[in-house]
Amino acid sequence: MRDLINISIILSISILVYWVIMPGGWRKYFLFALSLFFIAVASIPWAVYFLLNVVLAYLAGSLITKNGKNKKLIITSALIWFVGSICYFKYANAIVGFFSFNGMKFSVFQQFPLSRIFLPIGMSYIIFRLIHYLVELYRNNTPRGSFIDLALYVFFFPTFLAGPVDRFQRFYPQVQERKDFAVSECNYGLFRIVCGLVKKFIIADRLAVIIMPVLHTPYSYSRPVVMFMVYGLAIQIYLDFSGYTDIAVGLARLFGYKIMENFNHPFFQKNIALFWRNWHISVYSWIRDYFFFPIFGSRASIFKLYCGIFLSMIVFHLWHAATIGFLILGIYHGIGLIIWQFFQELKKKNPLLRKVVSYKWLNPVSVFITFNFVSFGFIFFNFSGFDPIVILRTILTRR
Amino acid sequence: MLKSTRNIKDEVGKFILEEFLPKGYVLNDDVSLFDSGIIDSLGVIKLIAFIEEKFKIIINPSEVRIENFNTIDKITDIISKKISR
Repeated sequence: MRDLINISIILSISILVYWVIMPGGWRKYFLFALSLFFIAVASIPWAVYFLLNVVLAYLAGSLITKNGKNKKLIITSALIWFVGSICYFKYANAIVGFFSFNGMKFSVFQQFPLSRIFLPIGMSYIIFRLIHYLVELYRNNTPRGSFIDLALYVFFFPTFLAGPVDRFQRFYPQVQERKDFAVSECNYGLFRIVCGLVKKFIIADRLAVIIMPVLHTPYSYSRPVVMFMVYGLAIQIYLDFSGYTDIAVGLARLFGYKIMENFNHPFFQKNIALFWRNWHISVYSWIRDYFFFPIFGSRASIFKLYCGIFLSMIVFHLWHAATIGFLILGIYHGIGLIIWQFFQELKKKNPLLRKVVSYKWLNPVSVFITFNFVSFGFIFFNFSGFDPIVILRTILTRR
Repeated sequence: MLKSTRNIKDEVGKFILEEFLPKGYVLNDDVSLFDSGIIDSLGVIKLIAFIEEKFKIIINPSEVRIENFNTIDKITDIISKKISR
């Protein structure tokens, strides 16, 4: 509570200074300093490390725009560095853990200081932003901007912890713009912050208090109760994520920035493909644009397309965390999307099937089926230590 | 050149109508295919596979972007440029 009060005081003073004292041209420097301050409060070494990565990306970006001949070599080296960094921090523990505790006890891994590798908070988002910046520069698809423009884009504190991963092309013009304070924008920002706080701290956290005891001991409850808690878990996860997005969107508005939305009624979608277009939009579209399209986009056979769908889902889920639960969830959604795609092909060949699925009254049924599919997947999310297998067994065997 | 552009638009439009839309749908050349939900990312890949086969061109991985395939006009642009090279 004291932290929340401190943050509120710092934010209120910052907003006043930003709009009243700072001249227009200085605002981006102020916002960058404020963002860096928040990161440094969490960890000074990580703030320095992040800053060095931004310097590296900016230098690589400068070389890419100036040096046409070697730009492929430069982008490849930079991508190896950034992808390598995220793999090291995110997956080294999991890989070493796997080899150390699954019967393959290599002495080299046993010596490895497992506990020393911590994933810096916000790193996944930072690396995604930097990769996006460099790739778009390489494609001549974005302005280079100044170092501060890039650093502010990467460190912008409303989006630093939990996204969204906005696009530099959208962000950069807003940094350049000389903004005037607008009461309507401020009101909208505050409204979104309140929405986010209510979603996260009032509804989601209270739902967790009801859901978790049931999911930890599902065998003590009847099947309908466990099923309702599985639905509740899906809603809780959505409120948690979208609550953070609301807070980020609202905070950004208080400083005159419009950042992209991350969720668009995902639980009201008619099929799994539409669900994925509307769930965690910024990261999903990042994986589509920088993994799926470049690797599987051209000269695609049906087999290549299915492989692309499957691997994209695995990458998306392992990006959250390197756990077996997320791997299973990636496989689950990958298979779900492939089945949906296969159904589309079937529909094309079968006029009767096409006619049946076009009935409007089937829409609520489709939404219900999609919601069920997604909800049952979320039991593998497993952030709270419950056993998904026990939950599934309870649902399948108990009355 | 004008005629061939029209031909390209017709071929692409016909494919999109047959592949992604119900019968009787009227598709304008400037309709945003992605934003209006007519095609999704998988649809883009199918569209590219069709374009590569039909027009005997190769779309480079770096060109596979929603912006390049969002309207029939834009798709026609990219095909025309490749054919004229």
